[in-house]
This record gives sequence, structure tokens and C-alpha cells, in this order.
Amino acid sequence: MKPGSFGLLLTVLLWASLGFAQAEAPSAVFRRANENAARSRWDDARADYARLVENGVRAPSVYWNWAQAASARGRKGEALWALLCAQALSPTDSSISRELERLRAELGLDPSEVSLGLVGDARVIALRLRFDWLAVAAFLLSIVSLFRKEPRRSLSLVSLLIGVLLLSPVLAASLGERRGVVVQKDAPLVDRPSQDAVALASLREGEVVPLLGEERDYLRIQDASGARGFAQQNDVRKLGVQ
Amino acid sequence: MVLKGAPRRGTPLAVLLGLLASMALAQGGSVRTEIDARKIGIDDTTTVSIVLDGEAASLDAALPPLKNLKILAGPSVSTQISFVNGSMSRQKILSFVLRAEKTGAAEVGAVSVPGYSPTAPIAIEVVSGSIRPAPPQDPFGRDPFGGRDPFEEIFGRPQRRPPPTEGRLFVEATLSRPAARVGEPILVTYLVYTQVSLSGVEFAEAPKYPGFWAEEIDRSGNDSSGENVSVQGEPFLRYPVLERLLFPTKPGLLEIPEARLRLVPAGGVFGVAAPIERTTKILKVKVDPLPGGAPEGGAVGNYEVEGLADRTSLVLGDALTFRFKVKGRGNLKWIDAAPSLDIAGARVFPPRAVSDLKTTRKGVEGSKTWEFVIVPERVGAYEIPEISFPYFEPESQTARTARTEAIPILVSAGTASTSSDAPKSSIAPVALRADLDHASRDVSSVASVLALVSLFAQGYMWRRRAAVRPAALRNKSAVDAALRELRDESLLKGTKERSAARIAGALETVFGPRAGWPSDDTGDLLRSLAEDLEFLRFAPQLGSYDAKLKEVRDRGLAILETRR
Repeated sequence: MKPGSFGLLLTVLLWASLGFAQAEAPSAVFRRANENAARSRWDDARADYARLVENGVRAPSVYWNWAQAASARGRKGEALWALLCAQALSPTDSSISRELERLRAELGLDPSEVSLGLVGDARVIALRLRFDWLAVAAFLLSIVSLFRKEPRRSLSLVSLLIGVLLLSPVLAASLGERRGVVVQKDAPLVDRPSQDAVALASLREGEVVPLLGEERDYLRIQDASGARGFAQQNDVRKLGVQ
Repeated sequence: MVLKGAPRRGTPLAVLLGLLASMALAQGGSVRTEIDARKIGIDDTTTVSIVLDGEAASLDAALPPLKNLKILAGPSVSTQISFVNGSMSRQKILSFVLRAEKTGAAEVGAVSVPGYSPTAPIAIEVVSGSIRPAPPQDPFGRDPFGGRDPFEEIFGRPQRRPPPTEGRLFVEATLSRPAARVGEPILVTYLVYTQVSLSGVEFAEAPKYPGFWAEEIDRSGNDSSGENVSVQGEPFLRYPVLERLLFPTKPGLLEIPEARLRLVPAGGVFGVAAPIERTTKILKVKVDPLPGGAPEGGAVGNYEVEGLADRTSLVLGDALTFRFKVKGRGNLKWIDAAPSLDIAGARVFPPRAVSDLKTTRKGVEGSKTWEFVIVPERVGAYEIPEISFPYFEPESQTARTARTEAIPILVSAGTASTSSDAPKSSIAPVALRADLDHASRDVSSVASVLALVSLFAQGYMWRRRAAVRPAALRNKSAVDAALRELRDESLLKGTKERSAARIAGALETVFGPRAGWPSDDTGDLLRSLAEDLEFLRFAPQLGSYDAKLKEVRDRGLAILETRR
């Protein structure tokens, strides 16, 4: 290697290491966000929580605190979205479920209006009851029973089927339709994705709606009454993609 | 208002009885005894009055025991009713005119009224002759002539006085100004003009003021006494009945509806006549909107503002109180919205409003103060910005804005109690989680992998089983062939080498070459048998090997039988 090339490589490595050093640690951002929230600087806190999520931090506490800040800011729909994200990350956390229920009542929504659908709700229940762990045990039993000195094929097959049944809600949810949460109060549901669209209805803040498609800055959705139309992407936050 | 009697010349005080039962009486009451002189001459008279106030006025008092005194006249009963802005008080006085019987000590005994403490006895000293001056003559009070016309005796022309209920009576509502702007105060006064004695006045129904915000006027003194006025050449006694301060809330030609008053003249057989109703006229007020520049629905009047902070330097973590005070006269009671106060880097709590207002005939006077609690959130210099208070000044007909001055605040670092280790905020308004935790372990992907492994294992085992079955089928025919070979009678008739080779060949057709034999019992048996066969094939012919060949053949048959 020539001396010039070596120097260039060294410079690049040094620059990269400086860049890494300058990047804020997630724990520092999280603490600053919490401090902002504690001082009622809700918007700053929400921005910091969003930054954490954008950087790939998948912690239920981030979404929980985000929900608290959004709720205090008056953005109940956003708070409900954050809680649903937290629940997806920590399905066994009962306090998240209680907070979701409180927020739903505060928004005056029917339980069906915050439902993740049959498959989505089944997934939450399955994860809460640890069906995934039970499925792992069933599959292990299935494999072990096959490779014994005297193989027990029937036991192996039954274990495999039980495991598949236990895992099916989780697997089905990953294949099911995507959903989003209306985070804007009285967000309009328009007939087409353009500025001159006609408003068909107003969406209820906090309502969980299925996402049927995406066009430019609009999402094609269906509200609880069955009406289909487009909503601006800023008005609806997607679930399960953060 | 105290109705003491109509302005009638030489008329004694009208006896007022039978008061309106429906009128609300003053709370509580009292009983006392009064006397107009403690020392009198034997030729003088004195008047003792038993005064029953408030609720006691509805009761009667008996004549107190008298010592060395005799009653010349009485009891005469007078009742006074005060009716001021809807509130009424009542007083009943029983008067006795007394004269001493002899010089020396005299006494008016205690007066006992059920439910009240007895009054104290009054001692009187009686001397000879007359020592009292002539009593003042009150043209509206008691009749100085004892109910007789003094001119009757002089001119011999007896005249009958008119009965007490005869005379004119009317009511009137007046405005302090005929026109105003929105928010400017207007005083409306309800007056009773009477030529008769009245024992009570009340509104038949509460007066209404559509389009106005009405305020009751605070009355500190008793200014309800009547005054003598002349209306179209006739004398009247005029009493104010009610005063209200009105603030127009909208522009236009507003009307104050007529008010109906119920007046009760004194007199009649039982001292009270039938009530008479009189109605005021409808009043119209021209209300102009505030001129351009004046805040809509804002303050109208004359105001001053001041801003005061309870401290200008403090330690981080402490709070200071800033008071924004507006004082003056106008419609300050209207102003509910607190001024906005925003200080960067400090938390400003919603203010508490404190009012010290009094409604007078000129407007609502006093002050209103908003108290802000401010908590700085970092060390450094702050400034409470100036706060403006826009209002409309009626005198100059201009919109003005009063402003406070900005107040600098210095926040220093905390002491031990506010060190950097201490929490910066003692109150977290939301339930936050401090730890950056992790998502629950999602083993669904692991489970999926295991499911695939299990599926492959199932498939593998199925395929293996399928592969084993044809080999077994092949072995079955081979075993049969090998068994036939070993049972062949010619097997043992040849040489020992040939017989051993045939046995070994038959076994190989079933179990294959020696390297592929299993490592189980069958394999061990085969290997043992193979070694014996080797021995038979290569051992020197030193004797007969028939028995050994037969024994080896039987062992081979036994092994093959297990494979059937």
C-alpha cells in the first residue's frame, strides 16, 4: 500500500470514529426526553422519543413515556398509538393495557374502534399467554421424540401440530392487514388523494383503522362505519412499522 | 328607607298596624326601653318607649311596673319599616306618657318579652316644679297638639283632617343618563312619590334589565330617608326604593321594562290599608358600540395597572409570585380573562384572581389582582415582561392601554439542597418510566425455525422408513433362498471347504459383505459364524469336520430364521 493511500484510510477511519463518538447515546436522549416531559415541555419530549424510535430503539418504556407526553399535550390519539406500540413490544405488561383502556374511555371510543382486528387481537392474547414459548416446547418435543432409539412418530406429529396451532395467531398476524391510528382530531376522510378532494367524513381521534393502500401523501383507509377513503399520512400513524 | 309619615301639617304619627306578613323580616331582634329624661319635675311629663326591633317587632310588650309614676297617655304604637334595595327591617315602638305622683325616686320596671332578655329598670329622679324645656316639634313626627287643631280654639272653626289614606301616590324610574356606550355604567333609580303615609313598599315582581348587566349598589349608610319635593305645585314626599347600576352589554336602543310596585298605605280601621300597585314607565337607552380600536367586550373606565414581584432574586428551585393589579372604576368586574404571561425558561402556573371591588353609583370601584406563581428552571437572568391592559376611557372617548414595567429576575445556583444530584423537578406531572428497557423476547421466530426443523425431521423419517421397507422386502426373498441353500441335503456331502463356502455365500446374500454387518447382536453372531467358517475352509484335513459343519449350518439357520 502506498503511504498516501494509508494516510487517506487512516483519515477516513478517524473521521468515522469521531462521528460515532459524537452520536448521542440512546440512554442520554431518553433521559433528556424524560426531563423535558417532567418539565412539561411536551413537544420537546415527543421529538426526542421520536428520534429514539427512528434510531431503532425498540423499548416499551420509550413508547410509554411518549404516550404520557402526548396525552399531557392533548394529543390523545398519538398517545393511544404509542401505547399500542408499547403493547406490541411488551404484551405481558398489564399497566399498558390499563392505560390503553383509560385512554380509550377518555376518547369516548368503543372497544371495537381500537381493536386490532380478529387476528391482531388474537396475536396479543397469544403473546400475553406465552403461546410462543409453548410452541417452542412443542416443536422441541416433536424433534426429540423422532430421534430417540425407538422413535415415537405419533407423539412427534401431535407435538408438531400443537406447536403450529399455538404459533398460528402470531404467524397469521404477521401476514394480516396493517393498521394505523388516527392521531389528529376530526381528521378528514376524503374521496381521493388530492388537494381538491371532497371530505366524506371526519375521523375520530384514536380510532384504529385498517390500511388498505398508500398513495403519495395519503393512506387509503376504512373507518369504523365502513366508509373507505383517504386520509393524510400525518393524520394516521401506522402500527407495527416503527 | 324609613317611612315616618306623610308631610301633613299637624297630623300625629300614624299608627301602623297589621304589617305585611309576607315581607321578610330582619334576622334576630332586640327589646329595649328608652326614656327621654332621667330627671323630671313634678309638673313635667316624660315619655317611655319600648322599642322592639327586628323579629321582636311582631310581638307585644306588656306595660312595665311603675313606681311613683302614672300613665297619662298610651300606649301609642308606631311601626317603622325600612325597605332598601330589596332588604327590609322593621321596628315597633310602644310609647307611654308618664307623670310623677310625688317628688323623690321613681322607676320604670323591667319589660319582659317572651324569647328576649328583660330590660333593665330605669330610675327617675322627681323634683318639684317643672324643669324640662318644651319638647321640639316635629312636623312629621308626633302631633304636638295631641291630635287637636290649635286654630279651632282660636277661630272656632273646627275642621276635619282628611283620613290618612287620602292623597296622591305614584312611582317613577329615572336614569342617570339617556345614552351610553357598551360597558359604561348607568344608574337607574326607582322612586316613590307619596302624599300619604306608607307602611310598606315592595316590587310586585323583580325588575328586569334585558341587554344589561345589573349590579346592586353597596350602601354603607342609611340614606333612604325621604325628601320633600314639589310636583306640579303639589307637595310630595319622595323616597328612593331601589337603585341599580346597569352596564349595557350590546349596542342598540335598549329598553328597561316597566316595573310594578306594591305600596301599602298606613291607616284604615286596623292601621293598614289595602295595597296599591303603581307601574313605572318603560325606559329607553341608546347604547353605542365602542369606537374602533377599543377591545370588544373589554374594560371600560379609568384604570391604572401595576406589576409587583415578591422578589427579584432567588435560588434555583424556589418560586416567586408576580401580581398584576388593575385598579380604577368602570366595569372591572367583567374582566375575567387573565393576562397572558410567558417567560422563556420558567414555568408559569395559571394565575389566581383576587378582587376587591365595590359597586357605587358611579361604577364598580376597586382593584382586581392576578397572582402568578413562577418557577425558573435554570440559573440565569430572567425578565418578567411588561403586561398591557387595554381599556376604553369614556371621559376622553379614547382607547388606551396601561402597561406595567418589565421586572428583571436573577436566579442563582442552588445550595446544598439544590445540588446537581438533587432532582431538578420535584413534581413530575406524568407517570414516566426511567429505565430504557427492552422488548419482551420474541421467540416466535425461534419457534418457526423449530417448526421447520420438526417438519424436515418428520419428512426425513418418513423417507427413511419408505427406503427401509423395500430392502426388507428384498431380504425376505434372500433369506428364503439362503434358508433353502442351508437346508439343502447336498450341503454337507461335499468337501468341508466347499460346504463352508456355500454357507458363507448364503449368508452374504442376506447380510451383504462383512464390512456392512450391523454392530448389534446379529452382527456379532454373524462375525463369530464367519470366523468358524474361515477355520473350516483353511484348517488341515486331520479328521472329520461333519459335526462342526452341521453345527455351523444350524447357527446360520438360526440367524436367518430371525430375519424372516
